[in-house]
Amino acid sequence: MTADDLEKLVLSASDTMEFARAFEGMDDKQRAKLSSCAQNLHRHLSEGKPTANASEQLKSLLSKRRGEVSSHWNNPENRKASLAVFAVGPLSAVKKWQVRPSHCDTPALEKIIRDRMPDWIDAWVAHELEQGASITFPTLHGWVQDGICRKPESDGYYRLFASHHMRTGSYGGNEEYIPPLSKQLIQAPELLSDIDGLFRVETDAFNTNAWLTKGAAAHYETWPEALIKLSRAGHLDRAHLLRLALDGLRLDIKQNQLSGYHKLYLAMQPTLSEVIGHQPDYIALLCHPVSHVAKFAIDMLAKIEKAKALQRDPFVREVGSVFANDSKGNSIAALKLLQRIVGEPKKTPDHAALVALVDAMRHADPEVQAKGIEILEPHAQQLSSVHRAALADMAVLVSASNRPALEKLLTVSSNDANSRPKQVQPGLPLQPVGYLPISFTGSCQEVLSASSAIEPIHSVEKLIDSVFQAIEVVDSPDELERIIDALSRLADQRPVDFEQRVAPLLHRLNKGQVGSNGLGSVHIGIAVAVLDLLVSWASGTLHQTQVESFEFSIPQDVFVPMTTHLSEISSRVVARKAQPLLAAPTHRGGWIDPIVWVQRLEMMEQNLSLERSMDLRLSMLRLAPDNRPEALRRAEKLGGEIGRLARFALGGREIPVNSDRANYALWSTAARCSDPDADWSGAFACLALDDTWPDSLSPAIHEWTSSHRAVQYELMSWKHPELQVQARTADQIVEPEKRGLVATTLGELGGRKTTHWEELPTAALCRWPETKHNWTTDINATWHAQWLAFIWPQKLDSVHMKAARKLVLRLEEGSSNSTPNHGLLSSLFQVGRSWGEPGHLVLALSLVGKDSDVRSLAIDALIEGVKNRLFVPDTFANVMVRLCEGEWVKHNRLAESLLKVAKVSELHASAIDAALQAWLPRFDFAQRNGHNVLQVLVETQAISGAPISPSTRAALASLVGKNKGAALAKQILG
Amino acid sequence: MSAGIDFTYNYAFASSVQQSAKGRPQLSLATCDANQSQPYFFDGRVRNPRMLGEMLYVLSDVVRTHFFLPKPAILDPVVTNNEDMLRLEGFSGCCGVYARVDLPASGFDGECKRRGTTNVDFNNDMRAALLRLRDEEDVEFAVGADEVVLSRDGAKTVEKKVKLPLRWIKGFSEVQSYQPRLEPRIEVSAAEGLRFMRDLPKSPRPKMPSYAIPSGRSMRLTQRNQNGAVQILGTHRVKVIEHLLIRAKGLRVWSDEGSGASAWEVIYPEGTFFLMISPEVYRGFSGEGQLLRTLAVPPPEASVAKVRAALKWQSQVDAAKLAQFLGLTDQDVEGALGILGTRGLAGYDATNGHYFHRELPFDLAKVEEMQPRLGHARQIVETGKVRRVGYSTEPTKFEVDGTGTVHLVSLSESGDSCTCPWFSKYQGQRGACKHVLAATLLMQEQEEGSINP
Repeated sequence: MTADDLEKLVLSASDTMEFARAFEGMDDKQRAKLSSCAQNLHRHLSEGKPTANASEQLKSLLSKRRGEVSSHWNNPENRKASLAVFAVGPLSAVKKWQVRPSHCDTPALEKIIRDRMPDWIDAWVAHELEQGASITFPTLHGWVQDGICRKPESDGYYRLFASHHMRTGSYGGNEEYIPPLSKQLIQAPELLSDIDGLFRVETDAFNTNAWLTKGAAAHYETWPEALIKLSRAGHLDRAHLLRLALDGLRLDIKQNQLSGYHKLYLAMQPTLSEVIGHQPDYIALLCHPVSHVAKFAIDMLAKIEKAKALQRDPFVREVGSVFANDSKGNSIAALKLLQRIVGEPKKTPDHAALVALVDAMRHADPEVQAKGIEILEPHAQQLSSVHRAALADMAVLVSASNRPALEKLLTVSSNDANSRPKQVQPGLPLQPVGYLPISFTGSCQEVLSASSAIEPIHSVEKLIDSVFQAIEVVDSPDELERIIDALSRLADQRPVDFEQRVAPLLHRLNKGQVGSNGLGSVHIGIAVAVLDLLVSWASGTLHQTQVESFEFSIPQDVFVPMTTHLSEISSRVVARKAQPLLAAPTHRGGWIDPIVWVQRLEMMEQNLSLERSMDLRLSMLRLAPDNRPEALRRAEKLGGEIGRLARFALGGREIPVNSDRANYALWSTAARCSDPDADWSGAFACLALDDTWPDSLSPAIHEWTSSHRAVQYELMSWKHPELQVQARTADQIVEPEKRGLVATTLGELGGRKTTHWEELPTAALCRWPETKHNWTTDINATWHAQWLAFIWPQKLDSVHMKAARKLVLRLEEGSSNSTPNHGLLSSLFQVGRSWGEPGHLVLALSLVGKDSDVRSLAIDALIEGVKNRLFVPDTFANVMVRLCEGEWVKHNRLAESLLKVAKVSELHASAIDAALQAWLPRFDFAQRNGHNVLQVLVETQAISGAPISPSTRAALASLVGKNKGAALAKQILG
Repeated sequence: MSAGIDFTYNYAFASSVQQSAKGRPQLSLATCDANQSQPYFFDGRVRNPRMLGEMLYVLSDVVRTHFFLPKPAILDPVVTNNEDMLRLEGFSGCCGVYARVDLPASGFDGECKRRGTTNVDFNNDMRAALLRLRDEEDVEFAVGADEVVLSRDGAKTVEKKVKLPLRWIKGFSEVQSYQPRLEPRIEVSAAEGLRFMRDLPKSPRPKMPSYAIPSGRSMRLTQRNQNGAVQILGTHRVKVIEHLLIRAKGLRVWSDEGSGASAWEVIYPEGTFFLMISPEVYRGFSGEGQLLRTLAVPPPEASVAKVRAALKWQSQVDAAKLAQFLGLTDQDVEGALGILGTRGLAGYDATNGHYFHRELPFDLAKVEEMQPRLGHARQIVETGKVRRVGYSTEPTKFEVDGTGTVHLVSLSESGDSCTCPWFSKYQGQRGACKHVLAATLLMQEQEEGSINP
């Protein structure tokens, strides 16, 4: 065969078997001559690119191919080219993954290999098995049997051996009869010796995943079933099989395969003498890091103990390892076994047994510790000073609820008070520490401090550096605010090398080469306006992207007023009109010192346009509660409408008059600034405004209900959490948007002026447009979410409600980099701001959610909230009661979070205790994992020493029976 | 697949815990160095067998774990021995966690047979047995074995063929460059440390940085950065030391605020376990480039050679004394030790503030080539894509041709800057970018007069 003949054969219409026959009888020399031709041919066909010296026939074939090159991998010509490489090529060529033959060409490949008997076959088989074999087990087995290759010893061989024999024959609707596994092995007895390999290598043989047997026939046998059958029938040695299963447990492999080993062992129903014979193995497994393996060992040892054959010394020596692992069940089981060994209280337990019991105190679970103390108590007199010292050292690890018992144990154990270790943590505090939250009614909490003052950017050089960094990473919205302020203030400064310096920035923005948490990473919502501003500044030409609604985002949202603000700045920047911003925060968190604000107004009084005044509106919402009287005094100097407006915003006696209705948005915003919670509709009656937007003239009332949607998927069903949220005013019947054009027109004809939410930043904050899909949202960068709280830091209710809606959407999803939610919690860290019910709702949702970033941050918020007395136990309890109506709250997650907070200090324990006691009288104890909440109460009681209220006592007393909840209630009630 | 070196661990026997001829438990560690020989380092008895067993078990956990992919890397630890100290070092498969067991001579009764560094075999059976060592037992301990005894006993050799990823070797070397910058931040009792570890989130874990902060006599985890906080990304990486704290004396936490790397030192009455984690789970120590500036403008090669020649497996290298002895400046010696650290020829012990001599038992020839950023910087200089702009010296400004744009670089005493995305994102935290390095190289060349400005 010549190279041309080979090419013709590959490109001909022949089938692959016919193709394989063409190489029959060819010797190595002939094959070697064709090797490079076959490899080139295969490369041209798989890459779809013929070289200049390729034949016309090949060029013609490839020129007719359409679509992606990769879509032709299974064309007859490509498949035959692969086979040709196997027929004539060297090892280096057949090892390439592109050359792997198709499964449907297995007969042709077999024919080629059997004819050729290549010297590379062992190396190729080893390579294939290592990579995840493309050869089938019957093919490989046939080759081994016929001496074409040696039997492989690699792990891949045993994986292939296991998976081939356990196939179900039911794939994609095709049914193939597969004999029971034991029958397959009996028919090929030479494979029985390979079974040992299943206990040395990680395979699927003992994998307990259900999908492996999906669609299996009634006669199907799993590997464990087949092995037991073969053992019973005498094909396998029973003792050897039991030994293999035990030895397999020592492998460092997946947990579910390990469970397959001990399940097989148990399914073989070892006799008592076999079990006793394996006692050293069980003892050695006590220190196994996988809890179910250790459990297996404890269970087997318990059987031996029952038969009074337990080797006491080796067991006692090793059992301490169980307490070093997390499993509570194993530790309790081990303690029960120890209890039986320690025996009667009158008997003196040996030193080793007492050491093991002392070790149990190191376990993290209070139940384990309590059980350990219970066992030690009768032997307290036998505890040596060494034991007592060890116990005292562990006091810090023992839960608060167990400390009194530990202290008692140590007291009883020592007759000599002087020899008693002194370092025992106290039990109950002498005086219960009460927790009282701040009352915000009528008080004005200060929020400004010298340490939180913002240093503005003073030069274009620094501005450029800051923008470069913010494109990649925005550390906090404070930095973004500094940049926006500097862009406006330094708009007229253009150093000679400005264009050159910002060229890399424009290049990066145009190419989309930006960081994942930077300004350029978000392309919806307010981020577009921020980018437009940056590009306008850097390029010197106005850049305004038209944003349309789409299924993931609706631009008519809370940020519309901010977008208007940024757009106004863009226009000025392009015109190089430098202007300081009224809305630039002076302090972190979006706050403006009112005195500085008045100074800014004084400076800008002459140039301020009230018509395009979004900057002024936003600035008023950021005025801190500090220094307002002094600012008001200074504002007396301001003249005209600006002066009146400033004084009104700062709480002065000015009121709006009819002529102010043209600037209703300014006055309405000033009213919210003056008193965020007041109903200003009466004071604004003279303006004849048609206004029903929540948080415009009337304060918003936020309503929410918790429910769930039942979801069924195949055999699984679950409750999908839902939260219905809406904002309205006290007397609102119809949503403003649904009033219709006629009503609006009639109102205007009657001399009334219709207000627009887009003009009112406070009203815009109540807008939560529904998108079609929610898995990616209009807030998908951390800075984006954090910035929400900067719009109206004086009142955060709307922001909290927005956060609550977002949190519920991803409540059962883990942390995410693409839709991070933790930024939504930044409002809880505002100093001196009441959380209100919405804030407590955000906190509660965060504590019960799966997102670890959110939950961990919520724990921090709660710790700081208690310290700053912003957390209100009653409000939290009310929120929990209402959330539980949805029947989806994960009490175990909540309990874990609350426990971490309670451990911080007695004050924190008191706060949590108060919240639980306010909640429990309305708690449905039938809820799943509800007892976890009681476990927290056990600890908060022990730490805080707070008294149990009558209503809590009554609720706990109603718990009866033998369940965990009743046991904990009993413990709390003493 | 990342580049790697085929390496064969060739041990004379499998490390194990077995009954010795005297009927006592014997922990024998098999050795194999870069030349495939099996050195015999130590023979004696260990004073705290349980502590040793647990420390070695956790060390083996670290070297067997890839902390972000389900891909175990079975790479063995290395041991460095001299009369004062036995150190075992390991590096995780993901190249982001470094662990070192420091065992002073006072922890043993025995004889140092030889100084040096070698690989030690860690296997499944030995791992399981390590957890069963008890303090009340008289445990014999040997690192390597006498050849005569081995040939007499006919021990079965162990051969493990592995592909040592170059980034693993590079990271193992580079991790030393972080340690001189570590500062102790928090110190608590072992019980408090254990409490902290138990409170770390299990699964799912936070993706954002968490911080360890002191809280009274204890410490706690927070998601909010604050003064004195130690950043942790990947709390599961720290949790590996949890079990050690059950029997330890204390826990000391170190951090390098500049890079975000942290170290967790478990203190025992005799010996320490030192765990160091990279700034992020997905960032190994190999890609950080902390020493690139030093490598770009290294101390004179003659100084490096002198310092190299003076290394005699010391457990503490006193840089000042060495400088005096060699007639070099302290700065040159420190720089040379830093360079030798990246070549795998020195380690750094933050707990005593000194380098120690050890030679990683691998072929380290390729590691030198593994500084792609520096290589690219040299290429930029060679192809004339970097130019000095103006005559200002503070800052000195350069233009560097990038892809589709020209980057501006400023070199200044108060800090360098560049307009490339790498610098914008990390602000120098992960070493200098290739543009800054290129500018530095050019300035160096100009100062040396090889190119006229």
